[in-house]
Amino acid sequence: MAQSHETGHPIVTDNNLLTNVLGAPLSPDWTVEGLAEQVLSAIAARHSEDGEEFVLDAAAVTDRQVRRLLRPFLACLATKSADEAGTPASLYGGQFTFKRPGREGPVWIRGNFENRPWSVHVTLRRYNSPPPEMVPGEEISEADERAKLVDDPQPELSALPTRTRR
Amino acid sequence: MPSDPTPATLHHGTTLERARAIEASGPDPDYREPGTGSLPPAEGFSTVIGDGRPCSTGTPEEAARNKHALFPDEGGPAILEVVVPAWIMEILYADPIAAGLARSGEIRFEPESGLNELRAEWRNLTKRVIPL
Repeated sequence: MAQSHETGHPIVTDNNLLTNVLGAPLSPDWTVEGLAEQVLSAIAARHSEDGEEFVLDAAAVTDRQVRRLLRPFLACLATKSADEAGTPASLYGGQFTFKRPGREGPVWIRGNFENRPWSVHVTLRRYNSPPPEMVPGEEISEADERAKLVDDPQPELSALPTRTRR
Repeated sequence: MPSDPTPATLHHGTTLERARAIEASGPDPDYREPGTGSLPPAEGFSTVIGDGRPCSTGTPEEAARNKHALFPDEGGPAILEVVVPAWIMEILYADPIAAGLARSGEIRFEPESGLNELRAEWRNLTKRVIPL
């Protein structure tokens, strides 16, 4: 399936959804898993073009609650994705993909994230069909590039599959 | 979350070098990883209850092995074990965000959730480093 940039449609970026969910009042019995599912459900429920982006960068966040929740939220997404895929978790950066029910059928949500002291950010993209395999040179985050440099000398890390192997 | 009057044995996954540094001096909220320059520091200290219960934000073993992968010259993956008194845990559980993370398995100390008290008490706490 063609992506937005291939069809000429601009990629729509929503910088508020993640902040709004993470910054909303927390229920007395909230959990980080519940919060992660709330975010995935909110994205899946959107009516939007393929590839709509949802971005959150800690450097741009001023709300203390959002700042405190962002790291565990990303770690939870990484762990949850690894659990669903039956693979080891990559906690500090990489990619993940989730499939969730949307309004008109299944929706795929692919994320790139980095979760390090110096950089905490995530980009989630919503697809109405299985996202295309990544093409070398496209959509490779700085985090993945750094992770590859670190990973390559470590044979044991071939077992860390949450970064899409190309 | 109901508080438990007994001390909590907590596990923090990191590299051996960092585990020994934390064991000696306590968690440093101003710690910056190598190469980070003047960028934001760690700000908090993440652990889990050391009884093997699941943690939705990753186990200390996973954190240690992932951290070792990023910093392979720091002695290998390791677990820092520390026994934290109930009164500090009560401060943590009284913070709504920390309490929610604790329900998910993560015990995260931040300025709002007992980090300052933990650091002040650190030299009196029982702790050990477990190389993986």
